[in-house]
Amino acid sequence: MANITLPFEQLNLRWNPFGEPAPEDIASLAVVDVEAYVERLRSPGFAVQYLGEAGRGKSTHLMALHRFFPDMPYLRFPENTRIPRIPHAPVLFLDETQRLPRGLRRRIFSRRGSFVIGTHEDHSAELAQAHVETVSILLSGMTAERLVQIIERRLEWARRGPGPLPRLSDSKITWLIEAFGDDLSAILGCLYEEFQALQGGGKNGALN
Amino acid sequence: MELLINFDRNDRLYRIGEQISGVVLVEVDNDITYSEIWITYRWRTHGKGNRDQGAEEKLTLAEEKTSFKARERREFPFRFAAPNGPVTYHGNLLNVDWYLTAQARSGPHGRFKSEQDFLLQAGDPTDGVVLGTKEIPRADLPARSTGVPPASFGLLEVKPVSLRPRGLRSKARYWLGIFGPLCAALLVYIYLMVVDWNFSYIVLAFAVFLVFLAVATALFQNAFRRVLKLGEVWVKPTNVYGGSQVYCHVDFVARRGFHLRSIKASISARERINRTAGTATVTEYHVLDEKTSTRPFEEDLSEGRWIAFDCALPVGVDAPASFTSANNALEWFVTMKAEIARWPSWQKTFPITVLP
Repeated sequence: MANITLPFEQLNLRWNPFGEPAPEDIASLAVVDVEAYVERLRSPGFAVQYLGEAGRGKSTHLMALHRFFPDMPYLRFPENTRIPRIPHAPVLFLDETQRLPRGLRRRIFSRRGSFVIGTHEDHSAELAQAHVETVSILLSGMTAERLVQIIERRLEWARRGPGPLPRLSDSKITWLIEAFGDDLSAILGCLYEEFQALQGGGKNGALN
Repeated sequence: MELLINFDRNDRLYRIGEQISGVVLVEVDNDITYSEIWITYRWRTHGKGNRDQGAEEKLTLAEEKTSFKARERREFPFRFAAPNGPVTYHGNLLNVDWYLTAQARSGPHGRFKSEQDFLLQAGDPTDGVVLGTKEIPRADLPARSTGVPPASFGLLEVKPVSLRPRGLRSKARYWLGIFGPLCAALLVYIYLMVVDWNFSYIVLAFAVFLVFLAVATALFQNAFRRVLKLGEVWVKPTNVYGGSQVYCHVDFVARRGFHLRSIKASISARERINRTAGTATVTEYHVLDEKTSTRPFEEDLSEGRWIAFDCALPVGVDAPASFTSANNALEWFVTMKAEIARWPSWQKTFPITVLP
């Protein structure tokens, strides 16, 4: 029988911090600034649209805002799937709206309500036509400070007990940003592999 | 308030069928009354895939109201039979772990929680074996490896079989089937080009080419099916324990002359996970292990030649057990493959279950 030990015990972690979190943990792990829009979304006629390429955190921003409106519908529009019926609600969370036909989008935006949108295409013209006040946020760029914050939050989430946690050196942070730019999914994927490699016999300390 | 879980084993390592025991230590700062103190345990996956979890089992430690004085410390022992699986697994994309959660409720809103993981290894199950969301009933569990192969294993001999020889007419029909329509279309096309040139003929030519391609592919596939006449193909047993062997067999008759390069049988394990990225779900695989047994032939087989291949594939002693849940799996396969020169290989894959 193979020797088996508690996972990541030598790193004072309970699991790989860069693995997939449970859906209920995603919002608390996100390093996002969304509170500013909560009150404005409570009144109809307001929209926040998050624009950006894949892996930049559009869905994470939507989920972070959704924590403030847990009873409101959150609709995802994956590729090559049938578009579901869009319910009427004071606030609609719509992820990947570029996959909706323009006509349907126009009908949704003309409803009395507020919208939180994740999209690759800018819908501000359509929203303006429907007299919806819109804030567009382009998710791009990654600073070392933000990345450190994201990594620290992940490490705390996986903490096993009191005591020191692994930390990433400044040079490692710089390298990650140089190698992957603002593609956070790719950065987390790379760190996942590195921590998996440490599972066998890593030691606390800086990763170079 | 402090809620600590102490297992009776420091390494927290238990086998299926053993008793898991320990104490929940409750230490309070102020006077307080708890309406209930209980533990729950369940398996969860973690790693690169979306997280899955098993059903929660609950064990009440203090059912009635329990009052504590300030700075009081009390122990609540627990004991339960180790679950029948899934066993702990630490892989690359996938991990399966067991978690014990202690909780204490005070009033409608006060709930305190503490969680510890423990390790579950193979042992003697009290009932069927649980492999995530899949369960193998006790009746279907094989006996531990006896090392005895199935009755027919290795008894088959290579012998020639006489097939009705394919005549000249059937060969002519085959080639005519492929090139006949093309030649006819080409002749019509040349005639039209000569008599009356028009751009629409280019479109027509393209359409004819597509039809030819479809017909030729269908005929080629049909011809390939005629290369081998399969006899028996099996893998036994399909539920195995680590440290035992899987036996596989294939036999076939050559329906036309061809060059047989080799026959291979391989046993492999892989992790499969589904990961949600935004609105997309991505499936990733990680191959853990692959063992192949090859019998080289490099032989020109004549029509009617009968070939049998038997092979015993070892399942490692430390082979991880199969696991299945909604977004995560550890899958085992046996694949048999006949490599034929100038023809696509014949291949068949059988899923098998490795038991803890």
